[in-house]
Amino acid sequence: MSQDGFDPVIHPLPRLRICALLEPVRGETFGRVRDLLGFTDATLSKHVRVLIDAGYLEPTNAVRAGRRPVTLAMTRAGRVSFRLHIDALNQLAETPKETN
Amino acid sequence: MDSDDTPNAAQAGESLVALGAVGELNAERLQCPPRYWFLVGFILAVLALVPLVTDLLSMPAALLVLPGAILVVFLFASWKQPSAVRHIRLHGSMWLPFLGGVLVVGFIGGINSALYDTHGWWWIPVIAAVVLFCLGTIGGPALDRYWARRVRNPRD
Repeated sequence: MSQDGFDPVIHPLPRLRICALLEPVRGETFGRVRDLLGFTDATLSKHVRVLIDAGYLEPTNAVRAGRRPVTLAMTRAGRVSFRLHIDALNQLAETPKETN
Repeated sequence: MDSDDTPNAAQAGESLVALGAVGELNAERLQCPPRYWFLVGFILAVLALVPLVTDLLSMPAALLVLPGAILVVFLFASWKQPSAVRHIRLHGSMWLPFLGGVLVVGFIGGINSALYDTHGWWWIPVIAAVVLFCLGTIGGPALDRYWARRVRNPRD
C-alpha cells in the first residue's frame, strides 16, 4: 500500500467490486459473489486469489445444508486497506484537473 | 494509469462510480424481507402480554402458551431464511439506532409490567403489545433503510 492509502492490490475494478460487495457483510459464498458481480468462476478465482495472497480475504469451508461452499470474508487488514483506498480515491476525484 | 500506478482523477471517478453501483446492490440484497419485522413486532407483542396471560391462565398453561407462541414465530422466521453469513456487519454509529430501539422496548416493557402489577389494569399490556408491535413493524424497516443507506455509500 502506498503512503496516501492508494492500494494497487484493491484498485483494479473487479477487485474493488469484490471488496465493496464483501465489506459490509460477515461473509458471502463464492457462488453468490460470482452471480452478484456477473463474473465467471475463472475470473473470480483469479482476483480472489490475489486478495487472499495479500491477506485481504479469508476463505472458509462452512458446512451448510450438507454442502461445503467456500465462503469469502474480508479480513481486518482488508477492511482497513479498503477504507483507506476509498479515502484516497475520494481525494483523487476531488483534485482539480490540471490545465496545460 | 500513471507510471507509479496511482490513478488520475478520471480513473478515481470511474472507480467511485463502480463502488456506488455495488453499494446499490448491497442496499437491495441486504434488506430483510418485510415479514421479518412483522415477526419481530409479533414477538414483542407476545412478551408485552406475558403479565396478562400469566394472570388469566394457570401457570402450567401460561408456560405452554407463551413459549409455544414464540417457538411458532421462530420457526416461521427461520423458514426460507437467506444465507446466515449475509448479515450486515454493523460498525460505528450503525449500532446507535438499534441500541436506542432496545432501550425504548425495555422502557415500554418495564412501564407495562410496573403499571399492571400496581393497578391491575388489563388494558395496559394490550396497549403495550400494540405499541411494541407497531414499533417492530414500522421501526424495524426504518432501521433497515438506515443500514441500507450506510452500506449504499461505502465511500462515506
